[in-house]
Amino acid sequence: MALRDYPRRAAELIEQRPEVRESVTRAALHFDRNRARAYAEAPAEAWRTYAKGVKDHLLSRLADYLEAAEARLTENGVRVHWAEGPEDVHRVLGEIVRAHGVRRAVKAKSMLSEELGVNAFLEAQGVEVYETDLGEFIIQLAGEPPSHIVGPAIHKSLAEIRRLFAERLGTPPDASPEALAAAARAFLREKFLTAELGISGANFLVAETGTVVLVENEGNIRLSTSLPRVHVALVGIEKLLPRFEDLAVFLQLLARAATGQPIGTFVSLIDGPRREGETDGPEEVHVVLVDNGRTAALADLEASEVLRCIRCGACLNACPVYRQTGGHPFGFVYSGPIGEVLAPALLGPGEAYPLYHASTLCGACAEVCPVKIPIPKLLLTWRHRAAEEGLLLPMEKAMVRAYAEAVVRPRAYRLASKAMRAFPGALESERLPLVRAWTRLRSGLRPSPRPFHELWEEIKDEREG
Amino acid sequence: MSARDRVLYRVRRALTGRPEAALPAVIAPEERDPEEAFALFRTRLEAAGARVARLDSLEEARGFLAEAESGLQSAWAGAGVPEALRPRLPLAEPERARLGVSLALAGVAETGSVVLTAREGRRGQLLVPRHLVWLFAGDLFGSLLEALRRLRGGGVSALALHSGPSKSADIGQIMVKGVHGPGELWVGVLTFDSVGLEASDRSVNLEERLKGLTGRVLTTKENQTLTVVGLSKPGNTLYLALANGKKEGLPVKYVKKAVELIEAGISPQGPKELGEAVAKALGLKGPPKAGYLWAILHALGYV
Ligand code: SF4
Repeated sequence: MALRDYPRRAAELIEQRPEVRESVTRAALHFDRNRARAYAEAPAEAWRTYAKGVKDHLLSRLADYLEAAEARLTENGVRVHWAEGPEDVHRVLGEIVRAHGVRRAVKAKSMLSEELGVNAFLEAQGVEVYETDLGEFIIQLAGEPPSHIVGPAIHKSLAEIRRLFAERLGTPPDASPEALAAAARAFLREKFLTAELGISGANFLVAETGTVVLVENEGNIRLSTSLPRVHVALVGIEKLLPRFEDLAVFLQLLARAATGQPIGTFVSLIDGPRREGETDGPEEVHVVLVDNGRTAALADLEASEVLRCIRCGACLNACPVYRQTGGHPFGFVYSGPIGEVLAPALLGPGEAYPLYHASTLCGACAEVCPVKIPIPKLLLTWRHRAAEEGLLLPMEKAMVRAYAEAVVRPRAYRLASKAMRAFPGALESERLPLVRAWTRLRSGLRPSPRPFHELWEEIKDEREG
Repeated sequence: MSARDRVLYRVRRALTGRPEAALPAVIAPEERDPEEAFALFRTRLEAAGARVARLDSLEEARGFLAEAESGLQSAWAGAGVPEALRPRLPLAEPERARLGVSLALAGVAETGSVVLTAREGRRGQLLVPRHLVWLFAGDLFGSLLEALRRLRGGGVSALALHSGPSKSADIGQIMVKGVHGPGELWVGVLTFDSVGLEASDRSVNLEERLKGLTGRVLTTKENQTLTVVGLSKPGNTLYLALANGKKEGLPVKYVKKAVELIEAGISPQGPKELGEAVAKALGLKGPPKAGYLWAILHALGYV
């Protein structure tokens, strides 16, 4: 999917499938309200400052921490692999599949595995792959990519899921959410008990102890990493934490930012394969440390701030642009504010154009981000760089130029703004093609009753007075 | 060059000339006394949909267990669950059992969590529809940081924090319980003997009491933590897992001799004295793993 077509896809979705906008908005606002309450109950500000500091430190010494993590993991009996991109990951998985005669794999939700095309690769090897997170399972049945980092199926209404399950799992057309979940549970339980391979991502990897940390609410991640003979964890190199003790804040902050819970319902702290005296657990644990564009982002001092991201999804929930469509039209694994700044950092501004324009720059994302990533500032950086590289459309260029001409001539500018206020209907006129394009999917444009320069004078006086 | 070398090379090149950002000090958590800790623990777990009971006697604990068992056909129990608190139902494999009973290594008030060890068996913690977890009140920590400090490097393959029943809102934002893991979490907090039940009951034979310590996390006088892994099959050695991941075997005859000496009336002031007394009685050259021996005798209620 070309990222370039984002505006067209977004427009089509809003026009043709209004129910998606409704589902996404409801779910995202629900998440955001819970986050706001959960932040208010905790020392959120101190935690966010600390979390940003820990990640900044980690990134500034990343090579040392990667080596330390590798050493601890190896001592713990974990097999460590390194991957520059999807091919390396596929090679590692291919070897494991052959060595263990893997026919069936269960997967715990992992955004990184989406980046790496893991499911398609395994299926091409003849391996049955089952997504086990309920939301991921729903979209796997529907043949769609995730629409949200934390709630991959938030764009789907209950009615849609009922139809899907009736068709694929034979549930009654009016099944309750409980019955639907029970059907998924029964279907997947058998897969858990028979799969030879469990694949997960990682929320954190503690360099000091080599502990792989996973957070979830359903128990599917614990099952995926406990029942199959082999567990493979795909870990982005930015997922490290320096100290075991850092988990105390990160586990709580992640849960509060993502869903408003004090902590994820199930937290796995994995230190390696089954040990002597234990009756279950995997015989082999593999960790694949994955680059896939992260070192390029790291080399770019400004863009590298995105590497602090802990994938909580809070910026998506807070974003008025994301809430209109959910993640699909973005055409990138990560959508919403973080997707808009990750895409250019990982793929380059040309490839990612125009995702970093999908923002009003309202700043809501930066206000909620648990690791204080200045997303609006980064969006401006990418827009600026794109303009320098000549990536603006001719129409945009002309508009920006016209605006620039006007604002440097205060008299002409004031005249124009007065005229608009005198004839407010002009901006709603269906006859103007630009206005028509705008109002097709949005409410009408209305000039503010008083011009900004007047308001500004007042604000300034108030502040100074 | 391998993928490893290339990735590390690129990381180093990316960071050339970049100053190291300072690592912030760990944030000290809020202090909570045991009463506050229990109240918060209960509030959090109940908000997450779990059942919590404070149990002040063995009878109360058995009553809680009986309630969890009622109407069910079979149960599973983790290796570390003390005899008196194991289910009375016929035992079954976790795949078939309707009730799972575990002993938590620790509890965390701040997050409303019980900490479970892989040593108990992971399937039984996950596949059963109803999960009952015992927690000794003395193992409840006010903050996650304190619990993590204590649990670090316990010598097991995995720890897990459970903070409520399994749940999901992936179907139309409607909360459903028991999606993959247990749909019910029952937590029984045992206030009546934080040292261990059979462990301090001198009418039970020593071997059984040592078995009863399996899975317990103990602290030596020097503040070293260790986990009791269990008794060897012939019953000669008590295995301990140390915080650094190493395993230690403590000969049971040392423990027996120490108990004998104490019952005969000696009252050692610390590990060193105890070790010397045992070494002398058994004709050993040096004091025998006195720190661990002391921790075990403490758990058994002798010192
Ligand atoms: S950018 Fe911040 S708010 Fe957005 S997903 Fe990442 S950590 Fe969460």
